[in-house]
Amino acid sequence: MKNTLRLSYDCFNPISNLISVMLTTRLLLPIFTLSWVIAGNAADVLEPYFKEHCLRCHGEKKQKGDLRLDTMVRDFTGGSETERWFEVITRIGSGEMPPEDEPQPTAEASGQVIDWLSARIKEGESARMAKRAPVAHYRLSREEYSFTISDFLGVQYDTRAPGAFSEDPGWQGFERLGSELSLAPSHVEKYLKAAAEIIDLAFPDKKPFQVKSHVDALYMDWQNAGKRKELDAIGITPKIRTLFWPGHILSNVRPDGGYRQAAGRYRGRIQLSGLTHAGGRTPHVTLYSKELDRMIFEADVLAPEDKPAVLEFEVFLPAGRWDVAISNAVPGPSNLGHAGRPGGAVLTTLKDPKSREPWQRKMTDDEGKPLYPLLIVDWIDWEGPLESPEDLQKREGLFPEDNADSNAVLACLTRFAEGAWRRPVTPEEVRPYIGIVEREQAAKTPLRAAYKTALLGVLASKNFTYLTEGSPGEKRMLLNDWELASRLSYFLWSSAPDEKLRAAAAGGALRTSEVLRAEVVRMLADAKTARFAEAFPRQWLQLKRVGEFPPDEKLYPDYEAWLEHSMVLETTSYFAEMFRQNLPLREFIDSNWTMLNPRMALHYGITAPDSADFQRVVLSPEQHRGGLLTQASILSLSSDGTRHRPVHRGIWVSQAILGKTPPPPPPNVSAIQPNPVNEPKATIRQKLAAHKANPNCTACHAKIDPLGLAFDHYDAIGRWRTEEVVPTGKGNNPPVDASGTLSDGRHFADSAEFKKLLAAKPEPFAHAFVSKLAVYGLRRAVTLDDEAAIKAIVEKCKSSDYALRDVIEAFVLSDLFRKR
Amino acid sequence: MRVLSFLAAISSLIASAYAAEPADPRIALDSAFPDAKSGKPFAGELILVEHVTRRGILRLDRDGTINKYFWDLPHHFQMLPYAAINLHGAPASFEDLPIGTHLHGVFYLGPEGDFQIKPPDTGYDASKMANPDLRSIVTQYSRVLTLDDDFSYYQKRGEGWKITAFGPDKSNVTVERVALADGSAVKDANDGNKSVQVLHLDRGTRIWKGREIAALEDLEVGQIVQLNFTWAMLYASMKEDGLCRDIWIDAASRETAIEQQRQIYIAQQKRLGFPGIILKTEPIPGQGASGHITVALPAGIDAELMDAIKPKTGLDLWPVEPNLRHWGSYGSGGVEEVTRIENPPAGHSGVQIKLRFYEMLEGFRAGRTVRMMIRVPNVKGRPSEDYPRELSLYPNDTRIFHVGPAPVAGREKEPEEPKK
Repeated sequence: MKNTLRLSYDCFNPISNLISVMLTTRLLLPIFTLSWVIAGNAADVLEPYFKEHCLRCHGEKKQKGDLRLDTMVRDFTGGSETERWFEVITRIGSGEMPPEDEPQPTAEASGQVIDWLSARIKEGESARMAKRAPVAHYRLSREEYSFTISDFLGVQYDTRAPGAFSEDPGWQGFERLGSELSLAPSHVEKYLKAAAEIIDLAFPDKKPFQVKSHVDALYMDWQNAGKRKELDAIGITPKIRTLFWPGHILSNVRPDGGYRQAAGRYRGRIQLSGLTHAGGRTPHVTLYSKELDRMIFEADVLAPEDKPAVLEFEVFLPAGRWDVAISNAVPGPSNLGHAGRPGGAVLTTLKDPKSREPWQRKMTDDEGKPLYPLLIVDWIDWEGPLESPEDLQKREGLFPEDNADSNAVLACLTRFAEGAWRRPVTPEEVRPYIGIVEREQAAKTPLRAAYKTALLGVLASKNFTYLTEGSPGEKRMLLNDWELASRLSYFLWSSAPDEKLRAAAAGGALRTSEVLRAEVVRMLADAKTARFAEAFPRQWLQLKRVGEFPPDEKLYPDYEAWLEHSMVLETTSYFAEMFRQNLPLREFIDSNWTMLNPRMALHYGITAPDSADFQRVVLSPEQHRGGLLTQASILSLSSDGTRHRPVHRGIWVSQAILGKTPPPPPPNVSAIQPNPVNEPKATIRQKLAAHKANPNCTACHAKIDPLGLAFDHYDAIGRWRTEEVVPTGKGNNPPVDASGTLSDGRHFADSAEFKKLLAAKPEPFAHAFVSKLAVYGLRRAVTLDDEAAIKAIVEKCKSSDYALRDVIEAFVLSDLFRKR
Repeated sequence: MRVLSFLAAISSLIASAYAAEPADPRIALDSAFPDAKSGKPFAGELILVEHVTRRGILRLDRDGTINKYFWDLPHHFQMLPYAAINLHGAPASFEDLPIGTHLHGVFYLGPEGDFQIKPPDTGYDASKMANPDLRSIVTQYSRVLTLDDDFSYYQKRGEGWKITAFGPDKSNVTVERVALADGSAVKDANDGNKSVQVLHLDRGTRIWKGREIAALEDLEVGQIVQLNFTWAMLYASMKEDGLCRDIWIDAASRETAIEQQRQIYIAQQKRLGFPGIILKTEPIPGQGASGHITVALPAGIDAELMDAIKPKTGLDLWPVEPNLRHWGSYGSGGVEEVTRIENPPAGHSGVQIKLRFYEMLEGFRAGRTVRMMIRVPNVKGRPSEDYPRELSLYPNDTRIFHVGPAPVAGREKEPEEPKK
């Protein structure tokens, strides 16, 4: 093995450290050589080296890995070219290039090239920074828009509702990058519409009709609802419950009783029992609105028949009449036949044989135990629109009285603008909006309506929808206090700064480490940090891709919506637990625990926790789980609808865990063909081996594939297996081989060993993790120029074993976070 | 039974599996076969039938079982789901029995069943009766295991009647109970029935000879016949025991009657299904709603129907009330196994079948009754009166009268006979 072990990890480090890295290796160079090399020119240093060692494969005739060095621009002031040159340094420095089977350069020659390139990259840094625009704009994602409005006005506005905001484009999973979140004319229309609705909800012209409805079991059961009089007469109505077997849907549980309801936040309470059958699924209640195309509430339910549970939820519902259907959304036999229909019998208890019609599908065995996961619902209560005292308090002082004078109007509008725009506003900035009020009033519009028009302008302003960093005409490198406050609050809360943070910014000392640390500590303790704990892992780990290729129903009949949702929840719950407990980052890679609900426990073949919620479950090695990498969400997002995809899994590991994005495949690469019917069954791994025999593919696949093949023991939906199911071909299904070798030469037999190898040296992962935090927090891709700062954060956290909260805190307190 | 596989080794196990023993062996449950020795035999004339719910009323014979002060008290009865009926020496349906038929039955005590039907309020129920609480010593023996007309009763026992004398102008006939095999007199049958009877004959009496109807003239002293008493047992004079409506005077006529009734029964059972009692059910894990059902076939099902039930044949099972009323829906299954047990309990044919169902229904539970239907073509539908419905919700209910004493809390002790 080459003496490159250290280098292979340090290939992620900033250029400024490369020299020190090389000093620990065979690439030791005399100091005088170094100074000469740094000062030399390309013709003297670069070209002879390239000609002798590189251009056979990366020159005019061949461009392996889509790289041609002889024509690559020798310019280090642009971002993309410089990144490519940095990649060249990394490959040479790690000893990866030239390949082992090629004539090897001396260490001195390679060192000269590296030093020369490093010096040019460093020289280009200031030029690259100078190219950045003086002002950067970062549009709020639709999720941030919702949270901002909620925290500002106490109004829940669902930006994901049909017809509301468009889906935000992402980059490597991140949905908050300024460069990606552009603004189209259609956005403007939607912003205006949203702003008008939000203002009406916050400051309604008349008090909305309050819904307080009670939907009882008999009302839900439309088939028997008409018998209420007879059932009342025999006195059993209060005992009536409604049974939901798998896939049974009843659509009679809307909150409004059939009337148009006001928009707003509604609270639902539902009393129900959830009975599971031995070793089977936990019943799963869903409340779904077809018109809204939205799951209003869903949960696994575990509660005995005689001890029903009461579940409570809150949901924003727009104005209108929305049907809501309740169902037990677990798979079961088809309900299409006669036996799957509701009957004329009303249920009081499963123990009463008269509670079910004899022609209906049998729900309990002869001993009375459920044959399926069953829900028994008693009632659903609805209440809304809700307005808490906190919500009303948020709106205080933002809307003038009907007879207010112009000063009062100005004061209200200024307060509103400052809240919306997350900074102090000048009278000049407010003046146009006051002008709107005055013009409207001159046209005999009442003050209330005129003022609302002005508010519409404030909320539709770019000052609200964009986070702005920098000042026109000024090359400012550091954020000011208000910019920093917004960056911090959107990082941790996905929302605008609260009063305390604003006060800190107004005090002008937020940029000091003491004040900033105090704020971070305070903010991390706030419940709103749950937004970070949900959004960051979702974006970092690209969880949006879960279910992107819905698995084939025939191959994976157990796969369904709740499993898919539970997969994502396992991962976000895992992150939240890491965050709560401030656990070291290596537990993202490998651990002896995970977070499971009954559905995921069933999927993994692990004894389900007692509760229907996600619970921390201690794992044993034979359960083959622990850490993120063997979670079903990760394993399925990198698969397609029919099979696992080791290469994609490798790319995902490379991107999300190692922070390296492999180059895209060359065009016209032939896909892996299905196994021929008349040939022995072959695993994807065996087919990939044949694929890699092509020298054009070997270079990349050798690095990517082991990262994915390590997880070959998991199928396309993340279930453990020991043999790979090959649908066509002769003979038995072949056994899984998940062994491999890392680029540094360390060998592993399976995913467990692979995880242990990664966890044993957490620095590269910590580096990648901080880079991901930076992308999320800074709302831009990190560049070569951020490397030094990232390295510094990683170094700083080493002493705390890279505990998650400490890493987050160190990131916020770093220079990187405070810089533009 | 040609198709039955004999599994004697397990038969006792299977038999015990459903032997849900009531506290009192005289009780017959709908859900289990009763103790054979605890049934009480009575005979009487059928005076009212509600075939839809398989209930009826007998006027019991004035044979000394009941004190004369309780004579002719209507004896309400409910057919057990597995009850066997014989008419003219062949299995019969309840609706085949004409009013007025003299029947021999085996009766059990009847507790309130799991699915007892609440009688409709017709304005003519027990509370309007002159003496609603009047009960004889046998009133509570209301559950019927078997009902046989005279022909069937004596034919089964290998007995018949020998004509010994005629009254003036053949207005009556004196018959003596004899063994069919050799014509010897049966003196000590010890079944409560007489060994010599004088029966009234009239112009309506049907005399069957060969495949034809004969005349009074064809009756001769010394003939060994089978005969049925009819509706008019109280009609005859004090010296006569009752009215004879049918006389089969030779073996050919009896065979014709038996075969004719048998074919009626077979056709009817194919159309409406024959009952079965579910012994156990087993869901098949991982197979959706599938499951296995083991069903006992009651005694009295014709061999032709039994023969049709063999492995790999399809069978529809209709969940029914114990009175065999169904809900218009069935499950289709496949016969997997047919076994026969030794010494089956009363009412059990000894044949048990195991079926596999794609979809198990609520009505498929141990102890519940099903109608088993061999799939036959050309059946347009099911009689609507078969569908049990709540009267208040479905005013077209067909139940017409209140059968049985008013519901009482628990079972009362048998009343002692009143002192003379």
